Amino acid sequence: MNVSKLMGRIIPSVVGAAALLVASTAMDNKQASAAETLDVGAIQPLAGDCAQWGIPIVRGMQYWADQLNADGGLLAGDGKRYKINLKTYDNVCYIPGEELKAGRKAILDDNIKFMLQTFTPGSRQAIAQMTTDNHVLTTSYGAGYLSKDHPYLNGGITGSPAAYMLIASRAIDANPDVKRVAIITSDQSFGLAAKAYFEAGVAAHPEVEIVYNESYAPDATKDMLGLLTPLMASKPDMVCQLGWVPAQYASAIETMEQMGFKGVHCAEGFTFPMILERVPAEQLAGRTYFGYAFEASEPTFSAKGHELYKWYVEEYGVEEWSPYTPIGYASMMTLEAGIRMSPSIDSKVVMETLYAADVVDHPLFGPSKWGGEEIYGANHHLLTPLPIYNLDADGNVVLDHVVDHAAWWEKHKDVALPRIDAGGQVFR
Amino acid sequence: MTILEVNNIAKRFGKLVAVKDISMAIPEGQIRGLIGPNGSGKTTTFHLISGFLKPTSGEVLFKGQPITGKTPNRIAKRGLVRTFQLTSVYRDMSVRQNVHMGHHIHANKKSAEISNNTKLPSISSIEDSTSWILEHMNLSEEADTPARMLPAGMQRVLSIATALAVRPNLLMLDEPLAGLNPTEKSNVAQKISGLRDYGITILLVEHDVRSVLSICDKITVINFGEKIAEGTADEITKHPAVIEAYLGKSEGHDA
Amino acid sequence: MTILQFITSTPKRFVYALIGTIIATPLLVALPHALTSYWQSVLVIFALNTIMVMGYRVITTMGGWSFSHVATAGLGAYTTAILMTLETPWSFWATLFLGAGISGLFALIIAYPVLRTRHYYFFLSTFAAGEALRQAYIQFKGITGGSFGISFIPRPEGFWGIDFNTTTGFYYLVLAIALIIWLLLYRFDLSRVGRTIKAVAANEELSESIGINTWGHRTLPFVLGSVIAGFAGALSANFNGAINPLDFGSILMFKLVAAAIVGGVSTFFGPILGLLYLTALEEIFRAFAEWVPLLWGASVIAVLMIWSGGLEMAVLKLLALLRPILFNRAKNSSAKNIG
Repeated sequence: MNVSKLMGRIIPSVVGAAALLVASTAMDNKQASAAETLDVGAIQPLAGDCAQWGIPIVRGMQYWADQLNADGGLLAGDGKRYKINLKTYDNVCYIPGEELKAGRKAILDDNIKFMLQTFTPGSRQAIAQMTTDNHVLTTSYGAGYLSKDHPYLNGGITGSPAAYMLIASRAIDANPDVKRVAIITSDQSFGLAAKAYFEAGVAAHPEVEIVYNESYAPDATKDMLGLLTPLMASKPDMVCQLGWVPAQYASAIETMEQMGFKGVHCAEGFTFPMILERVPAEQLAGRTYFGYAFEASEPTFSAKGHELYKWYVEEYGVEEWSPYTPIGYASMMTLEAGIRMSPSIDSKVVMETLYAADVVDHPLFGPSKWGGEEIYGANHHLLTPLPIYNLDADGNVVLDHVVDHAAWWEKHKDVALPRIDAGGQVFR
Repeated sequence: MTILEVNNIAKRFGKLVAVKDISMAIPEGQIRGLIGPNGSGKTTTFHLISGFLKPTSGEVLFKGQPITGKTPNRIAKRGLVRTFQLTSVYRDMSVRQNVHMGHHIHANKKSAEISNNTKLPSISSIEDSTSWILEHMNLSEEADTPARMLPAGMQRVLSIATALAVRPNLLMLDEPLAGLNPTEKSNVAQKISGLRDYGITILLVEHDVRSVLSICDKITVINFGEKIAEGTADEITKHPAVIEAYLGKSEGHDA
Repeated sequence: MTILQFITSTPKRFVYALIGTIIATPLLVALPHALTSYWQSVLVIFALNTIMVMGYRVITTMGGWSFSHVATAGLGAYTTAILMTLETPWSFWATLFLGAGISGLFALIIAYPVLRTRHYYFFLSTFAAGEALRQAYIQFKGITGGSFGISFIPRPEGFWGIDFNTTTGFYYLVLAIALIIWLLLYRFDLSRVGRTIKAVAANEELSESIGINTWGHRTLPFVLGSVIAGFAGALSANFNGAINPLDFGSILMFKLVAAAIVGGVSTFFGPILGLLYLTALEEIFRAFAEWVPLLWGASVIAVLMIWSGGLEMAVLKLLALLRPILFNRAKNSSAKNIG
């Protein structure tokens, strides 16, 4: 090969790479210079198995942005309207190191000041310092990890993992026959957090016993029968689970039903289109308790929220509907409330305005109080009411009960807190 | 003086007996041939002596010291070096680099005189020793050629030259003539004979009897893992067990 | 050995490398000042991964492609993370060297079983060893924090006016260590031991038969490469401030292997070139991060199937062609110096 031939191969690729770089920088500049635009970031799993969670969450956020933009933008406390520009960053299935990498892109490269991330403590801690140093108000669908040293992290809604505690407790309240509870979660960081909170919820009911309480490696779900056989052997009246991706929840429920389980299912959410393909609705009716943010397919809790469902079904089809869609949507509304109240769009002022408010009027959940002091040492968790749902015989999701998070906590924190602490979830 | 003494070595792989019971003694300065038909156990015997295999029983003494079960590199450091039939050069290194690498065990005494336990001339540096070996093995002209480019006969000579760089007392050659054309064969055989002048004892394994008769002082013949004959070329060509092993295999040993 | 002896026995190529490094150092020191904070962090991570691939290349010189490298680096990371977050924290410098030592010790222990295997089996056995180690990070919750990992690992105290809490300050720390490791490893690569390791990789039987301790010359690079990985792991735990078992999984491992394939491993700079290429790809397409592994994979396949030898061969060919033009030398004499 001679020089010119080789150069002929190298030069175009160098030029191509340079052109791409210039193009991407130029695009960045264009977005930055456009006035009255507010960049909002989302760090979520966007590929692979975990995208079953991440993609619906991002879609819910996009709907939130589209609604505001259709109104001419979000009307901020400074009197101006801001168009929302949503940017997404992949955390490769909640790997904390990848969260940090994504955080660097969002915060250092794209100069994002308002952001949503997963609640997983490891992931929140990974970017905690960066959000503090760069004043990035970062919310999540739940608290997970908060600290007075890192005030820019907040819990936007009750969410994970607090919801697990409230669901388990409500399911027991609604079913006085339940005396034996089984808890099964994945051994990932979020699964272990869920385990502690399920225990805390059960602890509010001294007459109820935990008969099975195990974590499993994600690979174990390939043998669902092998995983669930020891659980069923403990003869539970109620099974609380977390950690399976939506498709695996469906297969877990199918397996338990085939093994003759007649008790109560409890989880953060169920992807019913998938589940009802395998198990008839009349069999599950009244036996499945769940709640995360709110279930948009159910019209009575929030008419505004139900619009999200209608849009989603129209856009992606009913079989694509995911109970995870509303959580990003609802969490962003906490930031929205802050921006509306704050005299300035500056993220530090928005943060201070939010925490200064005794009660935040959440656009979806209504008036909610800050909490979290006992667990995180800082009242940075917005304790929104938690609607809990069930399934009827026609396969429709119906509202079961709305739990007042703040009131529940006041009543049960003495028994619940030690369980949360024992699970390594107290970060004071 | 006996340089190598093999006493009743045996090797079993599970139920298979590769070497049943072999003993031999090689006096210093001799060129000894080890021959036998295919599958007779001569290659295994070779591995057992050079340390590439551990004998199941028996012992090997080199210069009066037991070397049984020692790793090949330790055995080589004592002065017993072997070659391999097919893989005895570094293909991507030049001829000079190959021979240079052969000096590995002498490299730590770089400034001192290279230890001389043979009649090879004493040379003060590895570079000089390399040049000397290349010259005496007629490889100087190819010194900068990558080994893989050499014809088969010359690769065989190079493998002997590399082994020579270790300055061995006993050199074991694994089928050094196999696969060569008649010209190459006589060239390599001549090089092997010449090693005797440096006081190096040689044990060579061959499958083809005729080609080694002329260069060996004494020949050991094995079959089915046992020694069947030992003697000069004349003696073993007339030995009935040898004739049977090579010509009349179908009569007695059908297995 | 006196200094004079060392200088006279030093290979010319190392002298050139040393001079080149001295010339390049001011540029590398100035570099972060020309960059935004994001690109500064990219630079630090690139420097950290450069240390990782330099260690990885040491292992490949003995002929084996390890898949436990990243998990081994985790030992360095966990050592630093655990000891620096104690009630009475250890000094960073102590944990850095201890962590590297523990990584090396682990390699020495697993060397006995894994170095008995070759080729694919070596790949598989190191993969198994790495997975076992990663499981240990998850299971020994009391020490490692299990799947929550360890957070808020402090950075070392600064000196000479350099604040390691800033990205640029930390970059200088990583740069200094990377340059020291580069010079030491390059010198090692050119040394007699380095050449002997490559000879063992090229022909193990022959090497053993001429008196080379092949076991030792396979164990040494495996342990040395792992020590280097330990340094990189400790530094990255420090830079990121948080570690988790998932950080030491197959994503980074794949990146290192891909860098070694795309760049080539016959020269010292090959894997670094490969890493540079992969990092450039990652950053150019950073808005489409989820597609980046696909691009990496495609590059690996392209090199394996079409452009064997990788980027290093392209550079070597280019240099060989340019040399007669630049130095006005005969083409023959320069061609010989390749490889």
